[in-house]
Amino acid sequence: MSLTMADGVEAAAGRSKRQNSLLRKQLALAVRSVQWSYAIFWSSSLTQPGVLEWGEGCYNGDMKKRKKSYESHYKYGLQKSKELRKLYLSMLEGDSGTTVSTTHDNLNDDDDNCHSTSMMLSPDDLSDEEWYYLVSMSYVFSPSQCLPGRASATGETIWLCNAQYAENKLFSRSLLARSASIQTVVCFPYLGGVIELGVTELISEDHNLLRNIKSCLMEISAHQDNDDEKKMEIKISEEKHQLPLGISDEDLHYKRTISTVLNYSADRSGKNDKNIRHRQPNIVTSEPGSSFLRWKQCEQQVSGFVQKKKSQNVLRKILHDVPLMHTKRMFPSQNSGLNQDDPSDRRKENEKFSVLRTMVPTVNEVDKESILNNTIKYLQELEARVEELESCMGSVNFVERQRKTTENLNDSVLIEETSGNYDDSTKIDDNSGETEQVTVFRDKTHLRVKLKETEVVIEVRCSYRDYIVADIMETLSNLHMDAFSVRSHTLNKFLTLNLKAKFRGAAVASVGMIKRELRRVIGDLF
Amino acid sequence: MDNSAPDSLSRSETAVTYDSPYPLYAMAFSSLRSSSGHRIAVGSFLEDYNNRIDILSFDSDSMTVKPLPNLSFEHPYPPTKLMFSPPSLRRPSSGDLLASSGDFLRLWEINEDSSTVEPISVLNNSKTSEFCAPLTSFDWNDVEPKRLGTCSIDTTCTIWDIEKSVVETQLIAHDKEVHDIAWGEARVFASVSADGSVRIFDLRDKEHSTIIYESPQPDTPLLRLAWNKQDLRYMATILMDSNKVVILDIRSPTMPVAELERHQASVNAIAWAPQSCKHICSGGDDTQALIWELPTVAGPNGIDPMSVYSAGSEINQLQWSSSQPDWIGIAFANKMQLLRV
Repeated sequence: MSLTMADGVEAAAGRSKRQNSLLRKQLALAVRSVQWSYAIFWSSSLTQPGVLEWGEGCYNGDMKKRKKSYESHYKYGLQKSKELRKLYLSMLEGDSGTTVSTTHDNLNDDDDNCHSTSMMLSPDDLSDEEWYYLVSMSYVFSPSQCLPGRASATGETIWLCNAQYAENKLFSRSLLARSASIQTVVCFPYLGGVIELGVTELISEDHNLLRNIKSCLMEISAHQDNDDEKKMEIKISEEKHQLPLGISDEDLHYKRTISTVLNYSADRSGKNDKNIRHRQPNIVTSEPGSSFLRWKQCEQQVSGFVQKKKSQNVLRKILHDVPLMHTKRMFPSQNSGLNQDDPSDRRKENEKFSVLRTMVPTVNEVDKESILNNTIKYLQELEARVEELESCMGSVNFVERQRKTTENLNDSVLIEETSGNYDDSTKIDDNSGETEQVTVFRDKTHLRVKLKETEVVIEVRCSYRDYIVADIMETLSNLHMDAFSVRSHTLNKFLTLNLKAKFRGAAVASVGMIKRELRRVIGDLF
Repeated sequence: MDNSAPDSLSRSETAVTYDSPYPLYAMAFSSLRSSSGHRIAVGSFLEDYNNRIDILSFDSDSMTVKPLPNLSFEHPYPPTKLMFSPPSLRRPSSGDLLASSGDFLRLWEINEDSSTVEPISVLNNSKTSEFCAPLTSFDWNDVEPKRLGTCSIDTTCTIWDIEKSVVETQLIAHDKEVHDIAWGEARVFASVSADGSVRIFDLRDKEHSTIIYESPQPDTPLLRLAWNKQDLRYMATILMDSNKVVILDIRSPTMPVAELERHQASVNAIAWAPQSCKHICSGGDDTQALIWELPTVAGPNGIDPMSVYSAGSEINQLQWSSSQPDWIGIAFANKMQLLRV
């Protein structure tokens, strides 16, 4: 239904029929936009002046229940309304044997639609809500009778809450409403008739909602006098987008865009109209000389196509592989202005930069300049800290350390506390003087971490507590390190731990990070 | 690749085949009629730097297509799309303009009289680099023919003023690679992306875009987009690994108005009829090209195509000639075939 191609070739149909079909769509849009259960247009009877009878309706109840998928059931909703109407008429026919004399019925108009639904509804298939809608079709209202009659007579909108408990005089379908759980019903006059909407929820009077519904309906009526079908079709389509077709009200931008496109489209199709009509018959299958054969369902299925290659092979390559061919060429030479031209050198350099990036905390930037800036800042911090620590420790390593830090700055910024530390690490391994040291530093907590490629040498001295070694091991494990050599002893509640560990996989924590974590464990906050 | 189907004889009488020395992907019909017939450009698909664009001449009366070797030229990498200038472009010289996308947007002037192809411009949208982010597709605005939009794997769309060879605007259009772009009107375009969405942009308000469709499984990439030039309410898109052609109505975002699902394998290419608002042709991995007529109301069992053509292998490209609406061009393997509608 929503797939209405404006072809304008439609035979001149009766005005009322056309109006009804438009009205039905508008009711559908209106009821859908507010997500109510149904909308009915009570039109004034042609045979009995002043009496309101069923004119048109749209049922939206089922979709209400399945809110999630209601978008995709939009078409289904219109279809459902028609099926319900057809069921009603067939029941009427079957029961009384009389034909229905509703001039407003446009069943012929819908014939193709009904055929397209394979099954015919039976009364057993109906939910209570659908039954309510169906039975409503049998009602007629004399002036001032019931809600629609009063709305028509007074010319005012009537908003009825708790419709299921309303007096029969005010709302004659209150019993039906109770079984269908319809709680709120609204009626207002429209085009000489009355529009009625209902919903299964209790909703208090809402002027915005009313305005919304009315704007859906009013806009269309302005165009109904236009006899040029083609033009009207286009105008309507422009109008439709102004309705809340899933677009939020504030999205004026998109509305404007659409109206631009459609105005242009209308212009264009207006110009090409003759052309199109003239040419359209050309697209007929199996014309002599056509390369195409008429589609036959069965034949196609028998032919049993088996796909050999990967699906969309070439298209994927065009969209994914071909662009990468450009980028492959693009990246090696992109930075050529910056550095050496040998790509392998540059790759090494980039690798080293990425190592550096993992070592220096708070570097999230990937460009080399920020990495260097952060590294400088970090090294300055470290230097300051080293100075501070050594001043309070009076360390034996003082001279060595100082040499190291300066060395690091001059030499390579790559690996902190690594290069040229072989003598140091042997010292850690060398346990001979340890006892002495411990006695010297017995109350001093001491933590050293050295990183050599993937190997980490850790030296911890701190006051002993239960499970401290286990905690340290766990911390290392969390940092993706596996200890492969551990030596520890405790003397006078003081722990000395020498440990070597390797990184698991590619993850490399920085020295700073390892120290931070270990400090947390040994409870030292220097 | 032999078709044993009994209809192969009748087909061969009506289809015109061009055999290329290399696999083909990109293809375009010229809107001009030259002395030797209608011009067609085909781009090779070699996964290599060295590729070619060949210009062919098609005579629909004698049903022959012949290459114009003098007009054949080299193209770096396979062109991801080819397009001749829209008829609305008025140029002082008689030559035809051809645009190609790939590593850059390139414009070529094809002058048959002097048998030359001149590169007119190589357009790079990057201010900082001598290289441009790779382009997956482009579309020439036929209302405002100096305007051309490209889309890239870097998530952007770039709008060019090709008269001045300057970037009119560049927008971050999607969250992922942009796969195709299509103009609706002078200032309105739509794009599809690996992020699974179709978005509409209006150059008058670049801050906004509207998502009018999202693929049902989140992030199923959308690959190609075709805007119905005869009825701009409708556009069509195709999904990765899907046999569906999804038809959208720009007035009802998020809900496709139809899904055409009669291909037996994934769809690779779609083209709306240039002369009718309700016909669309699609080509797929099932080697078939299907012509569809969009009905006013879809039946319960879905929509059947009107007609079918079976090619020798997967159809990778499909173009519907706007200057000769009776002809559809398809590319598969190393063949380009012209089919009479």
